[in-house]
Amino acid sequence: MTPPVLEIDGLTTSFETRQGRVEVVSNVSFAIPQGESVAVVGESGSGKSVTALSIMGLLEGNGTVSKGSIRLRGRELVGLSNKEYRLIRGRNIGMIFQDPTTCLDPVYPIGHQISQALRIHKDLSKAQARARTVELLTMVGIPDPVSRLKSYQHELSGGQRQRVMIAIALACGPELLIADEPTTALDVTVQAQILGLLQKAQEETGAALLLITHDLAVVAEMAKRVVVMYAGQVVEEGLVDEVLNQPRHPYTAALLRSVLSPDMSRDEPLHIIEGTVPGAHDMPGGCRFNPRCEHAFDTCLTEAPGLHDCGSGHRSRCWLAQRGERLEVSV
Amino acid sequence: MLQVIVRRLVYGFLILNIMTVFLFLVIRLIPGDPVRVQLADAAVSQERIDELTAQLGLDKPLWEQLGSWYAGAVRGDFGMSFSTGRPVGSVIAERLTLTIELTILAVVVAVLLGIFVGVISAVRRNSLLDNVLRVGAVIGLSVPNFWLGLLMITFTSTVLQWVPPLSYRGLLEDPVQNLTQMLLPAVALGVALAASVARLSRSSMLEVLGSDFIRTHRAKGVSERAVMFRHGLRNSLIPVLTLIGIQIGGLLGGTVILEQIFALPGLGRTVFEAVNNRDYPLLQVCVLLYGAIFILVNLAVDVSYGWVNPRMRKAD
Amino acid sequence: MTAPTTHERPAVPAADSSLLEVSDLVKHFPVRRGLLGRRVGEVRAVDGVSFSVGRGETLGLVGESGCGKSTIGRMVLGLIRPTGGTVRYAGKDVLGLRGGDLKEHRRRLQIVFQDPFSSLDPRMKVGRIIAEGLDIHKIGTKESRRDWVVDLLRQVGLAPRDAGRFPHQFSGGQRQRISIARALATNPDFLVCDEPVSALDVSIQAQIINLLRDLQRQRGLGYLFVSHDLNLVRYIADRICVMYLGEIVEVATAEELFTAPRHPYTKALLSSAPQLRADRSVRERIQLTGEVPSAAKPPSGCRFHPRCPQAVPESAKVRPRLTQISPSHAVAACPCFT
Repeated sequence: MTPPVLEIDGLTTSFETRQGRVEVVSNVSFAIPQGESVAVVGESGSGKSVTALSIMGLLEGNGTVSKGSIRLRGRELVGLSNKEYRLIRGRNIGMIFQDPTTCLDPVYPIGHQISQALRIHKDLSKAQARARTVELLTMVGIPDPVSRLKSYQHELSGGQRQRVMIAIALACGPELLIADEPTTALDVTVQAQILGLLQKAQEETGAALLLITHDLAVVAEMAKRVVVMYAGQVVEEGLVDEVLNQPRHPYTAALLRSVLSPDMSRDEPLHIIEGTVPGAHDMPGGCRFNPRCEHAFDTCLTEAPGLHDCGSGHRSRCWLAQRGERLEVSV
Repeated sequence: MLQVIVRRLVYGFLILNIMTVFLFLVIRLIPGDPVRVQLADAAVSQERIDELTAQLGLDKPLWEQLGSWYAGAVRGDFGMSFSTGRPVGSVIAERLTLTIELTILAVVVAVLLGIFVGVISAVRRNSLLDNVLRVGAVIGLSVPNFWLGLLMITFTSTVLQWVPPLSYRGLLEDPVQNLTQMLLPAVALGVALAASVARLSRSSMLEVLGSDFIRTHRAKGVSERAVMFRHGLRNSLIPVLTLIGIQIGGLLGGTVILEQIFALPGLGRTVFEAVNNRDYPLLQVCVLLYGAIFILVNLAVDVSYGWVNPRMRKAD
Repeated sequence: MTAPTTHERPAVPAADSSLLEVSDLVKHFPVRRGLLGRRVGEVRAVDGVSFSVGRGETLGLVGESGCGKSTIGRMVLGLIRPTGGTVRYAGKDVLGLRGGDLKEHRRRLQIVFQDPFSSLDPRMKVGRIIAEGLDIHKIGTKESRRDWVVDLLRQVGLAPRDAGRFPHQFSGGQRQRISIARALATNPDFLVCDEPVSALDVSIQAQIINLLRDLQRQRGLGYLFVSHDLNLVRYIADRICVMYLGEIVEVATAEELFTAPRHPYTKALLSSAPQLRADRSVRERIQLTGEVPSAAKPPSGCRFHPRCPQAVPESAKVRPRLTQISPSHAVAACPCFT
């Protein structure tokens, strides 16, 4: 049996700050099998982007993976030297970021930026790299790709820039594609195009997709499995259909209820989650969600729950789930 | 691009004309009479003074003097220098190349040294080396160039027992001697600019290295060396170029004193002498040339902008 | 409520009178080139927009980036001058206001900006930020201002001691509460909300939306609610204007727009947004090709026609007019569907 494309086990990432060392990602585990798409969803401060950057080995400044393992097709990535990691980035893992306006180099033409990835990892001549670049641009739906090779990022629209980013990420045929909020900075009609393109690209290349997002509706459309993160931990994980219809963690349930949908009553106030996400310095004791949880009881304040398997790989970090209680979902 | 250059040259020409008129008037406001300075002897008869005044054309009304200056200038004749009695054109031709060479050398020193130090500082930020270089840059900024020049001369002559050759030789005439003569003043002139270039390129490089597109390059697997030099450096040059364009005026001003200190017969020294001698025609052309150099260097900076920053290429 | 008011407000706002009336509003930004700033063209950011908002009503302005929705918000406030058209507020022509009248207009109309991180002065304490409008408009005494700030902080869900802290000590949602308190300080009767929650997390968005709704009910505020999020606008607005490239393509009550959209652009917008619970196998998605063209060179005729899935040859020729199809529903009548 081939190992999953990505296997994360007990990943803990911490940053050195003036107030000491803080854990931004705590003991996160999940896996992505061949050709599948997993979404990591959470609000700001949940640690979802840091998880993605940990996989890429691109933590900023003084961030380090302090515990756990990240395996790509069974190969351990934690502890790789810079040089070894560099050969994996771009070749085995491609990544797309949130804001395409700032993510492309302003002083090089886009054709150069795509073929650069090809020439680093593949033994291609200049002409071959150029031909492949034109193919990639065609694939991501850039009209008139040959003349676009010499365009600079400021000459493209937001959606086109994100298409170029996708072309860069797919250039070397990676096994894993990481998309960190790929449509958050785009207009809604363009968002639909880019999400469609990502799906198409994934089907054509057979790459596994790790989608990082804050938007549960995007999760619903794009992913098969979902990992819900809160305050650096995985609080719930499972098949998208199960988690979104039958959440087993109060945070997921509350998040689902606060999403606006066209069929909700205008006369009732929106469902809210009181308070704010705790900072890494002032994590509450017990369950990290307890100060904002409407179901919290005494155990939640003192003891931190583990991830409990509710069956068929649907896991929840909640004492209620361990007791087998179901949450009421009314949308 | 060509269109831009042509238009900038036209504007430059207009500016030089405005300068001409302005200078013509201001120079004549300097206290002291050129004729008396020339004669330098108090016991000269009034007739002799009047005679010389008429000879220099200073008895005519100002607008007429200006008119005859222009009439000569279009034919390439900038008049006679009062103090040397030689044509202004030929006096300056000898001296202009030296100042241009000095300025270019100083800019080269400033750019090479400044960017090198700035990049090292940025790459090793907050290390001991970075701190030493940053303190060095502050010192470089605070030291006046004439004092640095004097210090260099003192140091080489007393400690190294070496003085630069006194008689000036042109670059084409004797390149080795020329460069040994020019090196010290060029460094003295360029250090302050080097220091500000170093400070700016450090902060600009740090900002670029923290930007999203650098992360994209890393995510592609681009090597750290290429990230730094191919992408980081080129992007961080944009503000540095602007700085050089702005600072070039100050640099040119510095040549006046440094040429004096290092006994170099350049345009700067000529300005100094022309002021002392109230040599109106010479002073006029010298200062105009400074203006022309300033305009040309700024044009060169703007043209190189297009090379560094593609966004500027299309902008009008 | 103990607001130190300078003006009496009518106890019961007249339901039918419109407070804000915008007619044929135009804003063209010149495109200048060269050192002499020759005018070589213009960006038609807003091109002939008319609408009205009644007392206590919320009008939603939706569209993609570049449709001119934020520019309209700023023209209503008098922050930028329109190229043409009129803005009438409480019966007065806003563009003709000078001196004290203009000041009074600015007191009555306030704005909440999108980005709570850049819209608050980082060097000012929260109490000062909130009270600044009171100082400018010379409302109340020093003591009554302090009490009023405390009162405002409570109303937006913050603590009185927060007045002594700086903006960076707050989270995004809390900062947006500060922005709202600041906007409310001068006791306005109308708020322009320019994407007030799009920089915030989902759970925090709901808190701010509820707050805005509660404040509207308590104070009878009118809102011009600018947003790109259709679901949000449907929830908060009474009526919705859909904009595309500087023009209104459709206006209707929130319910009508969602249940019976007429304009192809509105339909596309409605179907583009990813949905949490839509039956994906059944749902038919209209995927538009291309992106919003530049407002410096808007397409001829119906500006949407190059991207319109149902465009007909006449779409490129005739510039559609906003046509009333029911008392509460108007649409830019493009030949492609009429």
